[in-house]
Amino acid sequence: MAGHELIERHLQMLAERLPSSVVEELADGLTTSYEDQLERLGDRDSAARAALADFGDADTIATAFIRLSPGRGTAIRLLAIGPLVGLTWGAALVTGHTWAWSIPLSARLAFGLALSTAVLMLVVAVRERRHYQAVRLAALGGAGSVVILDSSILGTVAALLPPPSVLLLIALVASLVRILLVVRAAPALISRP
Amino acid sequence: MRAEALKGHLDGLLLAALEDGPRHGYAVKEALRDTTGGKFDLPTGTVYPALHRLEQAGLISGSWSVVGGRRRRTYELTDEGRRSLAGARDHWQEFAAAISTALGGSPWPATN
Repeated sequence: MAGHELIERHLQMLAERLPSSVVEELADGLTTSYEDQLERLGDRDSAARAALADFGDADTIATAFIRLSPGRGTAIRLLAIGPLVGLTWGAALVTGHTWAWSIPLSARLAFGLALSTAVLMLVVAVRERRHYQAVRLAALGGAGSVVILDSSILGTVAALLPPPSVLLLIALVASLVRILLVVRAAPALISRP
Repeated sequence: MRAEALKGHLDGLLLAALEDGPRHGYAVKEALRDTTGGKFDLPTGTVYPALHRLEQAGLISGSWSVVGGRRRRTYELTDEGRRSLAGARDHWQEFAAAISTALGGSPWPATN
């Protein structure tokens, strides 16, 4: 059965926001609804309008799917534990007199840039409501930046071998846990639904 | 009936709509409407995210087929989904009995 221009336009809007497999499923539902309405009403335009009214708007549907996306879930978890990990490192580094460490300015700036990028991308992944793919990419970028940050600081500690302390141990464990969290989430973030 | 009234009960209703066998999203929505005499007629588009959520929770499983030249995703209950549906039924009957008694002003049912 031939579709309708209004139905096609609605599906196009959904395709701009959601993964193709989801749009395929929605297209089947919307087309089936249109066919039912056409059988009931006997008029293509009325059937298309009735099917669309029953279906719901593209933004609402996209937002509902984005709420379920693994990228958004990972970003929320990373943003929630970020301050705690930062606090543990802050306490460990201050008590360890790290200002005496010989870390080049460029490395310090790179670390600050990576931290800002991670936070920005994770916030985008949590706040974006319309485009599933944007959420996925922002979460991937944010999670990747977090792993780079944690790896860098772990590498720095391993290279400089500061005096051991309980706070340093807690901070190391916190970073390792965060890396593991990203590694566990990575398959769902990388795979395109 | 407004969709907000279903909050907290939608999962159980969707699971119940799949109890008789596999259904695709639109058929789930139609089954829900038919079994409630048209009282629960959700927007079709909102049923699909709910089904995906149930699938992520392991309560239903989906599979693709081709029907009339279109790809169609059909869902069926998992064992965990059947257990969850039974739990939702027990919880609802207990809840509904308590509310009915309270609103009706009659004494609470005797318990053993």
